[in-house]
Amino acid sequence: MTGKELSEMMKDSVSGCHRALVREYGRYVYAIVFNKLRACGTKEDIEECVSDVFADIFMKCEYDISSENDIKSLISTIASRTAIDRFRSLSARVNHMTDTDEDDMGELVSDFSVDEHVDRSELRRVLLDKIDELGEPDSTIIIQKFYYNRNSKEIARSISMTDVAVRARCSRAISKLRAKLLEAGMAI
Amino acid sequence: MKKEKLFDILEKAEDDSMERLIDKCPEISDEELDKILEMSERKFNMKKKDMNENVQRENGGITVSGVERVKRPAWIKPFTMAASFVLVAGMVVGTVALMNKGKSGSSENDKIAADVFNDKDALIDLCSNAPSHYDKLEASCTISYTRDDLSITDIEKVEYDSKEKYLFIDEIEDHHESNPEADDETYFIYYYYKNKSTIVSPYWDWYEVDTLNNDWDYDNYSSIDVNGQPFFDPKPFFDPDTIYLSSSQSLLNKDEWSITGSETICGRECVAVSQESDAYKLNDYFDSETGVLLKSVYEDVNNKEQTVFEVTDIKYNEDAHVTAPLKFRKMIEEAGYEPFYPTSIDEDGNEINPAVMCNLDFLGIPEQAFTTAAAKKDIVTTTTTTTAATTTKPEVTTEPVDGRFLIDDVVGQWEYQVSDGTHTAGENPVYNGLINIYPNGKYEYIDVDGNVTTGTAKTGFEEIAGSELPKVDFFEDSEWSFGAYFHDNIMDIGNGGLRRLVRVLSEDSTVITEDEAYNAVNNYCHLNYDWSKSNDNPDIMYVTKGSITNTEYEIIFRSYTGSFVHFYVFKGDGNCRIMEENPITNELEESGTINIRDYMAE
Repeated sequence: MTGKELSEMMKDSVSGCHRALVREYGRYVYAIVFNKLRACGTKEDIEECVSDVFADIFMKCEYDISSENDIKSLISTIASRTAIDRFRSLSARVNHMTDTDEDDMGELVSDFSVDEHVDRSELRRVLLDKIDELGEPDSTIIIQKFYYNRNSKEIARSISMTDVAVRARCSRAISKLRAKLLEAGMAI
Repeated sequence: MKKEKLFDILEKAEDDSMERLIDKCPEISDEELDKILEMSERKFNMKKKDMNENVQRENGGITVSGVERVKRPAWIKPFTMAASFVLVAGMVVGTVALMNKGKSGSSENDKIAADVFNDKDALIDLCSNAPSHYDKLEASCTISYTRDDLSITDIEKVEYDSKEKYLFIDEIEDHHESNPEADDETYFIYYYYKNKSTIVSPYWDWYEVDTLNNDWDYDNYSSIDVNGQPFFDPKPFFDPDTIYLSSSQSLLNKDEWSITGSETICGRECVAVSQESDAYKLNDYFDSETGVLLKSVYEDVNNKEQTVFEVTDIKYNEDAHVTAPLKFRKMIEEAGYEPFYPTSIDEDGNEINPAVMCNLDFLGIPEQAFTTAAAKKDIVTTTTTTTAATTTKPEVTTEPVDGRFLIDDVVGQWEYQVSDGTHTAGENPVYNGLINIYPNGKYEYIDVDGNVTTGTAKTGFEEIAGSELPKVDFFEDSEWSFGAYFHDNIMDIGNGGLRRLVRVLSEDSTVITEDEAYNAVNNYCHLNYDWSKSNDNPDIMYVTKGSITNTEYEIIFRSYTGSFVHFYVFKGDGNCRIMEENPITNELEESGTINIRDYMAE
């Protein structure tokens, strides 16, 4: 979807345009927000953040969208920044509630280490590669189960299998993944 | 310290990784999207209003006050609807085993068998009480699942003792799809006993023990369930509260299926049951005497997927062989499979010993340790440490003389060794401290943390099976602490082989010197490693002396690859642990044991 297309839709119907945006990019935004808030946010926090992202996108549409070519990158940027802001806010809240020490605050202010960043990126890549090697539907089951924290019934619904089958496949897939990661020097 | 789980690594992903995660993001329902839209619209209107008011304020000085509260609706509604009746029976790995347990009288069986071909209630009764129709079951089965370009075939062996409640599954799975790189064959052996799940990977030579004690486990190990119930806590087959449905449960709704006749499957007469809807067709075949599902063919009409589950051989009761827990332990230990545990550090930052976490004692403790075929690594292809009873004997013994067993016989320093959780203390000792016994009968125990406990040691005999065994009792203050049976230079604590004391220094024992240890390890390394790589560059491979403790010498071997192998030689008896250094993590991983006395004369 491009900025021009959105502008045209806005002329026809603002609410229709908003609906189309949410339908088209809801899952995309959710995935980005979830990635940032998975560790510190509740489902409600994630939900609220997703709606914040779309509220910002609607504002952009209202006042400044025509110059955008493919709006996907714009949405990605808004989603990432909004989620990071929310992450900092949630982390600060948690730290405020507990005994915050200087180290934690330092981490909060600047939690970026080049070495660690590179290491984690590589680990991420290896892990995703090994999960992909499981093939479908196992790779989707594993990601939805252990990363998106979905239960078997939810996963079953999303991939058109029975929940019994999902649980069976999940159990075997995690065993296979363990072996693959062990070979790659990672432990699950 | 907060433990980071593996999948936490995926957080804060960017670029390519993020795209891959987005691809696998669950679908969001229309209902949920509508909620997002509603919230977003509300926030958007607030922002717009704020912006307009700010513009007006800048232009006309309007005061803004008040905050609109946004009520948070739940992100995802819990799914409360009952599970679909669409089922894929064959995918339940242990269906065969678990759908049958219990045993009732034969007259009742006869009565049931007489009715099941015509009476739906009788068939339901048979299947719902399947647990009561046999004690043991041994079956082979195949499960094939095809969908689009995906094909999965399982060949399984299932053994189940419904009385003792242990389950053995041997499963080879063949996985094919359009992408050849994803093709795979896996082989796992599962064993379920008490509340433990043991998985063995013969392909990778490891085993893992897991405790099934929470919802996560429950959910993830349900592959061996029938009706979603873990086998160790089986519930009646047709528990109406059960969320998860298995093939036999589909019989619950009598209006949705019909008895279509009979068919013989692997020599057993079965009741054929059929059900059909716009979405699927299902044909099940239940053993007419036991209610066990012997065949199931499921076809999803819309998704063009098919699952065929079929028992190819089945035996019951006295004809059935079921691997008992101790036999299973023997299989693991004799094969030399290594314990595996998913994480190496616990939540408090302490190192986790996989051998301890994968302790097999729940399967039973053998009277004598099973032969350990020392790990299947090439490095350990020679003599290994033996059990306590046959441990290489130091040159001097201190057996009681003239029927007397005196404190002088045990005076000296002893290393306290315990089992690693898998092997006996004799096979693979784990250092647990030192005990010094003095001529006045006093002893002091220095544990691994340096804590010192003192007490009194008394010698005597204990009659067992007509023989008098020399025994040392240890008392803390006046309270008996533990007893140890003495032979040669070893004191076995208890009779399970799990703990023992091994003499370290004694005035009349022959202690291995550091040079002897070095020379023996050097001999071992020249016998077992390829030194041709060092012809051009001698410095590239070497054996050198390392650190010395009260009980051990460290000898280090450097390979031409740059990796190091550490040999820890026990001064008292020459037993030697071999630890390989992981070149990436620098962590030491135990790879076997030898006795260096076997290499002293090389």
